[in-house]
Amino acid sequence: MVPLIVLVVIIALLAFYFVAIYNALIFLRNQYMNAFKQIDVQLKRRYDLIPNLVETAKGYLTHERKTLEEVIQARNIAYAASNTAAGNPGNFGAMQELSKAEGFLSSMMSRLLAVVEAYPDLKANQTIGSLMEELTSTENKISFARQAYNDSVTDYNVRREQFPSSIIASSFNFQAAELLESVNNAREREAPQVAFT
Amino acid sequence: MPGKKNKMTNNRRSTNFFARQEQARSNCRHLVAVFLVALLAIIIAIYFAFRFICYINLCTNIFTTSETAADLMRRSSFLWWNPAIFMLVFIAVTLLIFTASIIKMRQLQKGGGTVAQMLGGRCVDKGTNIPAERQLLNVVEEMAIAAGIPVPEVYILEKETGINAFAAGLTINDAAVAVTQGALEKLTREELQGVTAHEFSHILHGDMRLNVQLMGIIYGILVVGIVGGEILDNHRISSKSIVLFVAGLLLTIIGYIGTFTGRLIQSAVSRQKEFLADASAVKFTRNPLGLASALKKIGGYVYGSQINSPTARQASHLFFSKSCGNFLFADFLATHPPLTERILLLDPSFDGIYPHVEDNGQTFPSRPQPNTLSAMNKSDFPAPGLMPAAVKAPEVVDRVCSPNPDNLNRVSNILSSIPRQLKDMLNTPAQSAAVIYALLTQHTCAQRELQLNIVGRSPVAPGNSEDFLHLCELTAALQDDQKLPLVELALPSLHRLPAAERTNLLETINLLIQADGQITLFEYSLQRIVRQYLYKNENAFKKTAYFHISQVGYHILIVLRALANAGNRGNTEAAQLAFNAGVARIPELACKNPDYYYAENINFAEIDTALQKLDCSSFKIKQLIVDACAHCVLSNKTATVAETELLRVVSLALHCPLPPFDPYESTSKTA
Repeated sequence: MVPLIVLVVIIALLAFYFVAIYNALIFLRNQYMNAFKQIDVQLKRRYDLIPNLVETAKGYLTHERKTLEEVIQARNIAYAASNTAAGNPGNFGAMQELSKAEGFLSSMMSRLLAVVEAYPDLKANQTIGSLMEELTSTENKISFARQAYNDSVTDYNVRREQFPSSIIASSFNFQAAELLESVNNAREREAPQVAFT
Repeated sequence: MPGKKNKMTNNRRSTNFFARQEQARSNCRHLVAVFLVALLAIIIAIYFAFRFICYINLCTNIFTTSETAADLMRRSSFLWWNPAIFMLVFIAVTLLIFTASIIKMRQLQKGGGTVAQMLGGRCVDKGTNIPAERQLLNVVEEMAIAAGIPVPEVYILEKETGINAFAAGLTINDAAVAVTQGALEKLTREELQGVTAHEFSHILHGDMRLNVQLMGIIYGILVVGIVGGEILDNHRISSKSIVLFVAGLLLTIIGYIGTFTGRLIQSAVSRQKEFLADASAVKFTRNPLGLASALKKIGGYVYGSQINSPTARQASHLFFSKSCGNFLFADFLATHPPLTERILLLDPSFDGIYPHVEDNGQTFPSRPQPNTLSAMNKSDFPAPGLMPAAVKAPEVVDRVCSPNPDNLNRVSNILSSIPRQLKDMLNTPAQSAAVIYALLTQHTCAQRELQLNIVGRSPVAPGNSEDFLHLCELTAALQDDQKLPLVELALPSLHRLPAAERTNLLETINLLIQADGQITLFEYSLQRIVRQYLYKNENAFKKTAYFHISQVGYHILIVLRALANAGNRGNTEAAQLAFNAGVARIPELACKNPDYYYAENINFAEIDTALQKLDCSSFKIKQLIVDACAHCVLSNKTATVAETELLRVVSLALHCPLPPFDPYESTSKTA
């Protein structure tokens, strides 16, 4: 009788333990998926922000019209690419296109920042000052969103590979999540290679 | 850099959000255990104190009256242990401490915003256009993304010149982050990012829940000491009250021991958390040097990370860096690890030499005061079909301390209309003083001589008299409604004057005002505002002395009379109407039918004492007063510059600053 009770208790404890591990994995997985969506949100925000910002800057940066036009152009290309990619999310070509467009836009943005940085008079101007602030903040937000994604992916992967949670992970088909690469090699739009069961 | 790596890995291990929250909760349970032990100790101490007092009582009775056999019996059979009395003490003390703790926690549980406001914070409007605030908001948003939590409310502690910040709130959804004005002005974007990230780590680790509970518990223990202190204050030693005196003394001692233990726990917990928060800040920003440089700036800055608000001590463990010093037991009671130690973990190459931070080395120019007096819309068309006073005045009360975008727009309009040359002068204390003097200088020749003489003798304002005359011409060209805003712009610089020169400045201002033998409303307002601002630390947070309207009724009437008078010069009937409109808002006064008399000259000394008295009344009364004043000013549907100036002075004197408003804009909105 007693051994039976002990056995039942042990099994029950083990079951609770495994349920806890399973729930933790689910939590981490949802967290990194949410973090991925956050990058998306920030990218959208950038699309919306750039035209306004450039409009404001036009009055002050008359001699840098070309840079501004290039920024707008890069933004339009990226925006179009994002729409195509949203239309057919599985398409590898569309994703590749979008990565390229985002990379180009990011490099244009940093060029614009550098241009303004080069004119001390401009930097003192309040409108330009707030414009710079918004640009810096947007770029920061994107990179922080990527960083948050990578952090949560790492948490998830570590948990997934550690013993004993690795047993649960493999038996319930928790797949490894992918880290994002650097900005120039932007693949931010590419869905992480995970199959969710 | 072994130290940092160690921290980083420690942090990584507990990087899971739930794990951290769970840990915070288990810390809370430990804390509750410690609290219960402390409570029991206090109860036992109080019980024995009580018995001791009973014993003394018995003895003193014996000394005062003739000793009888019965008394002797009672004394010899005195029992130190009496379960019934113990239970009584137990229940009484438990009730007292728990009620105090729970009331305090309730107060704090309303969310981080409440705590921030308690410490003198002003909520930053999401649509702000001021560069420094915009940057702060952006930095906070960035950190919220990096930490993966909702964006908290952002507050600025405007009165604090030290570099500091704190996070408060019970859950991540009602969190608030506050930084001091000093931090806003002195830190670069990267440094601000580091500081904000540190605060976010507190939010993420669930430290705030612990902190709020700590504050509540410490307050509960503190109450015992407060009760003791009150008894001591109110009873002088005499043979009759010796019992009460001893009771007060014992309670105070027990209370202080309790508080001391509480502080000890508070600091021990807090120091651990600071290291962890620094490490997490680096994890969020991936830039240890930003945070390190902010800490170095604190080390090299005259004001350091000091917080002046008197409530700061209770909340010292919430801050980014040490907010107030301890003279005794500095190491045990420090809520924060030493600066050098924190910097070395972030930047191992630090040589221990702090960079010197200039007092005026600002990243941004001083923020324009939000509560600058507005230009009033003088058009005479009230909104159709509405009683503006009925709609408007309640809103005035709502607006105390809460400027909205419209107010800020008005302010920026006024500010941009002030000549640049004047605004540039306001950056140094001496030149600001000169501007103030120029504002007070008359333009008739007779008084001018005298006033120039006075200015010449003042050591505060330098420069030759020609410059000063030029300045006088500039100020003479100002509109009436630009003058007080200019004064308010000058205040932050004036505040940098050393104490002796402040007194001198005020004396010179008084002399200038009295030079022509009469005081105008503008002169009074100016003097009152400058005085209030320069001595704000001394007279803010006075003890509330009046809780009922009847105690201050007379003073309210004085203020209302002055307001009615200021708005309706030479028109006795209109003034009477305005006065009645104001009085009608306070039923307790209205039922007495106070009389109104019109006087050509306003008695400013009388108003001054009245305002000082009113400042000691409770906030409920203050709200009634501001409401009544607003009704009085707006009763005739127009607000002149003079009466709005006085209204602003009244609200400032009551420590309920009122943002500038336009009597019509909100009326039309409600319509």
